[in-house]
Amino acid sequence: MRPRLEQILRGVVVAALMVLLWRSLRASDSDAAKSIRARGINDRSLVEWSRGSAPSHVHLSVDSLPVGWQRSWLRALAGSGTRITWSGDLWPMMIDAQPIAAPSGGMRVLLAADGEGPVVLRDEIGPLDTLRLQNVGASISLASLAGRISARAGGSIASAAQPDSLLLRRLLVIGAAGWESKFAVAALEENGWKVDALLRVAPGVDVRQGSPASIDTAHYSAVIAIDSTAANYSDRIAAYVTEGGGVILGPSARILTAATSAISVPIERRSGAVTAAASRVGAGRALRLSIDDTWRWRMTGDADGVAKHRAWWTGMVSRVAYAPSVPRNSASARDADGADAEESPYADLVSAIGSPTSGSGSASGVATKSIWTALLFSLFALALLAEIGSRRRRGLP
Amino acid sequence: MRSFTWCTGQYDSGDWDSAPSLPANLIDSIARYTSIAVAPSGVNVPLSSESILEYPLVYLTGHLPFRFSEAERRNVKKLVDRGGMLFVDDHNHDIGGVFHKTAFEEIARTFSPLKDLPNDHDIYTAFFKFADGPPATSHELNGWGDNLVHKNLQAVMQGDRIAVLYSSKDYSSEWNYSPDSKRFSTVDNTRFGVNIVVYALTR
Repeated sequence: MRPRLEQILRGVVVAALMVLLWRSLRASDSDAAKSIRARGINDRSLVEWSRGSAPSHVHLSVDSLPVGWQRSWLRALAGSGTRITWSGDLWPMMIDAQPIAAPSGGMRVLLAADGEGPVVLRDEIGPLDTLRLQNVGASISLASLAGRISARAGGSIASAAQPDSLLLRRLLVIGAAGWESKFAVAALEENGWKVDALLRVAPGVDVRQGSPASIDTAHYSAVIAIDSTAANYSDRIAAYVTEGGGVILGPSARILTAATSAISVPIERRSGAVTAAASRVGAGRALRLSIDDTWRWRMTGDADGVAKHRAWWTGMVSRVAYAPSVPRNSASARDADGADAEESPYADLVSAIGSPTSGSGSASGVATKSIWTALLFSLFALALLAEIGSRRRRGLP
Repeated sequence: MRSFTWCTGQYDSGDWDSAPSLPANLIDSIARYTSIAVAPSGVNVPLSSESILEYPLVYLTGHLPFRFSEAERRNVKKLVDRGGMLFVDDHNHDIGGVFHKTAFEEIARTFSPLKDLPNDHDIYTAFFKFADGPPATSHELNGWGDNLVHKNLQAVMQGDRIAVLYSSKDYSSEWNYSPDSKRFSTVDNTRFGVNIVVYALTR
């Protein structure tokens, strides 16, 4: 019985040795089967992974986002069959800069990011502001920008090119002679808009300001219909908006009622009530107001009531204004080193090689191999010791 | 649509209510000739109260020396700075009267000195057309008061807008009657009052 057991153990030892030999030969024969863990990313490693037979799996641990050409290289490497995973404490982040349709210019910077902590905004001159996100988003208005704007949080960075300029045309205000019409015109003019006005004072009699012209996008960036007086121009206003123009409708301006009541988005509330709601009408936009006494903010408000009144009217107009863009030189989208702005490099990385793993993804293959080797070695050692022990107990050498 | 309300300003120093029938008469004219939504009766509001800011056109008149208190000065300055307009009329229809002298001084102290308003200014064509500038009043034509027909109104300008309109023509006497009496007139003499209101509401 005992010799039989020793033979079995000897067979196990030989089998384990054969398996270990086979595994080691297989690993050394094929580089393609190797798994690589890399901290960070550099030019040499990319070249190395792309030369000859590529590794089967590369796991990157990064503390900053790979730049554009590195992401492209990784995308190509993944496309050629190498499984690429990555891990790192990076924020998904995206930034965009949109021009504000207002005579004073400026831009609205929109930032989306998923992380906790400050986000530093800077342009090519220096830091602009530090934001703390609320509900993974933030926005800020800037009067001017030097070059492109970038947002940085930890190792994440995103940048946006300086937005195009806008071509603004005149505004047309139509309404009855009254304080709301008068002060709406005043607020807009004080903010730099060129305003034409048709103010009804008697049946068929309008006080005309400026040089009221045909209501079309060649003349006007927006039409403000203060009240029902504008019904006389309803067909022209409807055609203008459909072609891409913007219109602001006071509560009693019964124009485009079907189009603006179908789908509208509340954009301002006061005391719980919606005071302004926006709709798309054809190629243009309409904003319907539920208030017609904004002039009181200016006259009876606090010390900055006039400024608030101006800003409110310009804010409303800028939301709907028809303002074709004037493209900047494409070079302005690059920084001093010639690098392009990247609004969402994180999303591009995910698109190229997938979402980050927990960090152990790359090790799993290696770890599995190591466990199998350890088990085989243990089996080999135990079988050998048992076989030797058994022979000794029988008094054999 | 909110309506326009005629507002007479009360000030402490004089007889601010010396033309009590004027508001009703002008309200009648505005309703008669225009489509402007107008409140059926006017209001009297103390200049010392911030409530005055709810009325961007304020009418002031009187015979007696005219001085603003500190609160009155602060509020009328705020009203004008924010885009409102004052219409001040000398009820004495004379150039050497106490109202005229003191009002000129007070307006200069509060805003800036009054200057002659050109007779081709927009206010003379804002609704009715007055080719020769401000219409003369019967008091001027009859030789009462200073025995002059005042050729110009005066104004303090803010940019190209009239901020304070001043009259020595005594429109307060000219328009201070019941609107029912208009049927006896060949030409309604309150028409220039309509121009003032239309101008204030549109410029």
